[in-house]
Amino acid sequence: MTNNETLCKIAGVKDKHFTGDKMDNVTKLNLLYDYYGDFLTKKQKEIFESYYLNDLSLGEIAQNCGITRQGVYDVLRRSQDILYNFEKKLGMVKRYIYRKKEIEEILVILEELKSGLDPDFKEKYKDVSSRVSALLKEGGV
Amino acid sequence: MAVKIRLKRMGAKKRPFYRVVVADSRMPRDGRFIEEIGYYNPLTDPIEVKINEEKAADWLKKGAIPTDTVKYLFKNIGILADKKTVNQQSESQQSENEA
Repeated sequence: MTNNETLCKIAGVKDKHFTGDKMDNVTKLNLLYDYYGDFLTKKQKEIFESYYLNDLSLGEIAQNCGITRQGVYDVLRRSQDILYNFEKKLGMVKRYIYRKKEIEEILVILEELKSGLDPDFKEKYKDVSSRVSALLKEGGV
Repeated sequence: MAVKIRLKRMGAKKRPFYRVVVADSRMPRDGRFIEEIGYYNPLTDPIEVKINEEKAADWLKKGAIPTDTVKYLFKNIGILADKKTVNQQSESQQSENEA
């Protein structure tokens, strides 16, 4: 599967949870968390991080926090709902993935243009290509 | 107690990147782990998964339990993550040795 297919799949944030590929889901929730994580409470964050960032099981988290497995599941579920809701309204992850794809394609085109370049424009070309790559590196496109 | 094989998120904000690590199930808090056996990068093209198969098989034989996500990764690259299959394999190896 190519990167873009996956990303599009991630970008097409669905309302139903737990659909499609399991790993895509983990990656998607991680990205959502990066954007909207600060909207969760401290406790929700802690549990979300344990589950999705450190890959602990529900049972292990329950033990660590001193609550029941069901309690952990409920918190995760609620946190996911919150994150999905923000994505639905703000769509920042979707936009990020779209821009990332565009910039990558622009860089490919720039590379193609490089060979047939008029020497007079060499400086400008360098400037453009370094600026575009800087956008990609920043991660916060 | 149990030793687990799990993913550990590394990487900067908005660019997730995971290590596959072997860790004690009681040591989740400080993120300490016993050994790193590979990594998983979902944002490259194609998705980059690298796992030291020898080490993975070794840990599985010792009884380390992979999480569901790690099991999924193992299955994709063809490491037997099922405890049953691992046991069966070692048994068949034994019987081969005996024969």
